[in-house]
Amino acid sequence: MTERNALRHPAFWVALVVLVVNDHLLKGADLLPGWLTGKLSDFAGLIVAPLALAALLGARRKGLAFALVGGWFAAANLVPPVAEATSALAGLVGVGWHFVVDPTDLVALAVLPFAWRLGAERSGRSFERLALGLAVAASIASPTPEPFYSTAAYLVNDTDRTLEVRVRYVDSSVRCDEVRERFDEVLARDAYRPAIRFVVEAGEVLPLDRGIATSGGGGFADPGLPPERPVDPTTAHQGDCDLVILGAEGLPETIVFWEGLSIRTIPIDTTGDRRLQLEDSGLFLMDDADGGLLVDVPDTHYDLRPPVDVYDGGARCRDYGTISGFDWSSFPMWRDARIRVLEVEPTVDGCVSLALEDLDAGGTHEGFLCVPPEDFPFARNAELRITHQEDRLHVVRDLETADGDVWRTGELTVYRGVEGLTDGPFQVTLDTVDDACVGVRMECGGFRVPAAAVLGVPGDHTFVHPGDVLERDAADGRRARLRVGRAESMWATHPACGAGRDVLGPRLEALVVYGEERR
Amino acid sequence: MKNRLVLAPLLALAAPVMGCSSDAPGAASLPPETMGPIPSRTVTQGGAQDIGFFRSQVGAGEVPRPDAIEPVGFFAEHAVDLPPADCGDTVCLHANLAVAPGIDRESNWTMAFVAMNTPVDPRELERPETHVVLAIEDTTRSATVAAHAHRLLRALTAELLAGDRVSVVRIGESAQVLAEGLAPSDPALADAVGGLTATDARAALYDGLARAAQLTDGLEGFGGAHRVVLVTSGVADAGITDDMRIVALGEALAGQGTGVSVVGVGEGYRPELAAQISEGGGGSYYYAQDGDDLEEIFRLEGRTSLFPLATGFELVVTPSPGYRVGRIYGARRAWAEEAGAHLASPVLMVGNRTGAEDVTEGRRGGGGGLFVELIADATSGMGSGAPAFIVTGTWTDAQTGETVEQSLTVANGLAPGENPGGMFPHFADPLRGKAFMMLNMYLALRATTELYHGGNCPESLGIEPALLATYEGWQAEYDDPDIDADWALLTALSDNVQSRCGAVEPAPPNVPMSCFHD
Repeated sequence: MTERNALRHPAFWVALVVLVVNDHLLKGADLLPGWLTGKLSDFAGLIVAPLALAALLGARRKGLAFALVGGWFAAANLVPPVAEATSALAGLVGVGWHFVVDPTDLVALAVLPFAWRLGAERSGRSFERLALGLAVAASIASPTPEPFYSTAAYLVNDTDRTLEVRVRYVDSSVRCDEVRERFDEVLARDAYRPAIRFVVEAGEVLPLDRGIATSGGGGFADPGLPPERPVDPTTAHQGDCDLVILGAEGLPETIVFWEGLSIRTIPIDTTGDRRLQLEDSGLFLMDDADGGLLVDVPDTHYDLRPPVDVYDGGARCRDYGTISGFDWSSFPMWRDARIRVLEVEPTVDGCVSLALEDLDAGGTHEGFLCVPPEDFPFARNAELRITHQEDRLHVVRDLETADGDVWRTGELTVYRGVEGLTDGPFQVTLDTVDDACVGVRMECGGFRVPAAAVLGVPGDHTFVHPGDVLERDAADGRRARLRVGRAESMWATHPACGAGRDVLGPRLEALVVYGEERR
Repeated sequence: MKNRLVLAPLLALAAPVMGCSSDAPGAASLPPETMGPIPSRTVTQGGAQDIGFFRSQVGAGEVPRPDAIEPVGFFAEHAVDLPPADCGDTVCLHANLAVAPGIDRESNWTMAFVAMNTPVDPRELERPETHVVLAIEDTTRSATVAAHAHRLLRALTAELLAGDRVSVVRIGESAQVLAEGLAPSDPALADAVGGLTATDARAALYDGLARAAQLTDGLEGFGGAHRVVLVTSGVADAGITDDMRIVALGEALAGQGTGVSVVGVGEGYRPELAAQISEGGGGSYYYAQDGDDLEEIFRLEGRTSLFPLATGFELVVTPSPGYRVGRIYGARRAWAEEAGAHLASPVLMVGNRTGAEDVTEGRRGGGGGLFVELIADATSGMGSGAPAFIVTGTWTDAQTGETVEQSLTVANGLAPGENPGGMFPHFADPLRGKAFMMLNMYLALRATTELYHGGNCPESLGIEPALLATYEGWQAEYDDPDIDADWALLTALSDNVQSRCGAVEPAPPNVPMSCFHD
């Protein structure tokens, strides 16, 4: 079958008629739901457009034609800049396309295999030309599709006047499950980005998903106030949530938290039957009896609270002073490497300065190991074996005895940024120990909950607080010492919180040091 | 809430001197012939010495976050003419009081101001030999340093004495000692800084600072003092990166008597960590906008930071009956208690300016001052002319080791809560109102950023026009270069706000008065 034959297939003509009737008669006539007319256009267009392009390019380029149309359609429904570029290019040639990103439209790609197989009996060239001309015209002269957004969260101006809405996206990343009940306390106002102002006409919808709102992804008015940095359409939150501070004249600043909302296609306003599509999953800004505004929340996925400006929950937390974690310099990623200690000295701040000779690969490495000097059981000229991983530094000193056995004279393992550890007699996890301590709000935009190490052996529930030490006998008879450095869980964080506190979740820094094996 | 808190005093003071008053600009009330510079050398607290990072962001067309304008750094760019430093000590305490109506013309705003000056000229002061360790980040982020390394070294060593020593630590992916304990005139120093290449991508900041610390311990044949000057982009992304560790190292150095000054560089500068290191290290803190600025900082550091006048400085402002303490501005450490406001700074250093007109070497080193808001109780029954507050300063004289205490009582010519006639502020010392103009400018800059970041474009844009008459009236009388520079900064900031807000008309800032008494 040639592409010219395909243009004579009845299915092609049905698709062409559907495309023309749907775009020019049905859309905007309130006869069919908006989502249905949108999908009809997609299905019919993905039959008509690739076949028409293939006919123009020639039989040998049928694959290219299908790939171009299918690839463009997929990209434009996934990548906002592609959709915007499509609309812009169409505008340049006088076609009023307004392409809206909607991943659910990708379902229409299923029709491409069907279009590929279309064939027809040979007919006169004039009929082919007529079909091709109509197909091209129908494909590119389609009127502006009924505008809609693809967004999870949105706000409807349900008043009868234009509103200027201020939206401040949270700049920190959060653990959704942890902040869900306390999102108003966890972050100060400063943890939110500068406000973006949106002018929302009466009955219009403001999508709240990052990127959609700030890219103007649908034509609502945005008079300016671009943020200092572009709003990243994605977040680093752990979980499916987001937070903004909403403000408007007559509406006190309100933190909106939403979670578990799926992306859906919604119309951009409430005209006609579109109102029905909006009612169950958005926020509605309405007039209140006092001349102000209120936010109506029909959907349980949203929660609204005023910001908590004075938070003193951190004052009830146990003060661990300036206890910091254990850390080390950028040594090579040794794997059981033979290393000789050339220099070992305590530093002014209680770390250990080291000069190490790599006996396997050669070379000398100078650096620092921030553990208490008394926990570094190795002296100058000692020959060690070191394994270095991102979150673990393991150092042992083995001596060969006269009878050929190996005698371990010292062992140190330092853990950095782990959730827990199992080392000899210690099985350690993190837990909060102080019910009165409900977390510390940090100036950097973070929120941390102090914790302690918990020894989780059945029947044993011993807490080891940051800075504390616990000694036990290991199974081989050696005396083992656990020292806990930093122990906390980050519920919210921001790069400004600095290394060590810029990752969400629990973070334990600890070391286990063993004495000599018995001889 | 924070964005609203600072507005009230701004408007309270701004309003009377300008537009919302029908009176002539109040500056005319002050006899101009008495406002000329009075020779005295300024005293700085250490810590932030400028608002260079804020200024660079404004210069780049941005609207910085409110916390980017650090009050200690802002005030340090201002020299307030004070009475002669003839108190007999190396540091002399001075105080003033301003009373003004609030924005509603009825409420009252009362502010105490405390500043220090010194008769000491650092060029005539004998000081111990000093070992300066330059710990310099040498990455692509801090390329300005490598590009100007030799002139920076010349600027610093020109201020050093023959017996001083200089070491250089290069901070790249690891730390490397380029020079150890060389005399300022040693040609090998120039060779050492030639080893700065700006090629590394990451900085092992802890390693560099720890290596510098090691150099301060046991420099052979040297028995003087030590000081570390850390030049950094504010990012620690190699080796030990834990901020707390790095800050603790600076504190440990300070604890053994080695101050750590921090110079921020680079367009991607991150101020958080650098400011903490400086705070813990008890040294000065700067941001260099370019090579010339960096050179000026190195010269200033060599000239002034090596001259501590006093350590363990503490100030207590005790309100007299009829007053209680409100907000505090301009101290490195400050806290309020029922009995009064406490302000502390680990060190006081000789400033670099002799007065407001002395800007030949830039505006840094001005000294600034400290402000304590006093909330007056009009029902207290106290009359006019009664004391408003007592300020007591204690410190250890760095030269003699003696503990010094000075105390001043400042009276209010008005009764507590009483506003001056007309709309111009009442000053306890009418000759020295600049301090309050300086506070006005700080609050204006801060409020502009706070309102903008809160999404309130009209009121953010309304700050500059609200202050225009005050500024013009003040400058017509005193033509102060510091205030002029502040105004240029406010104008540029307001322009940036306008460019982001589009065609928004300025609106008078509207501040709930309840915040004023918060």
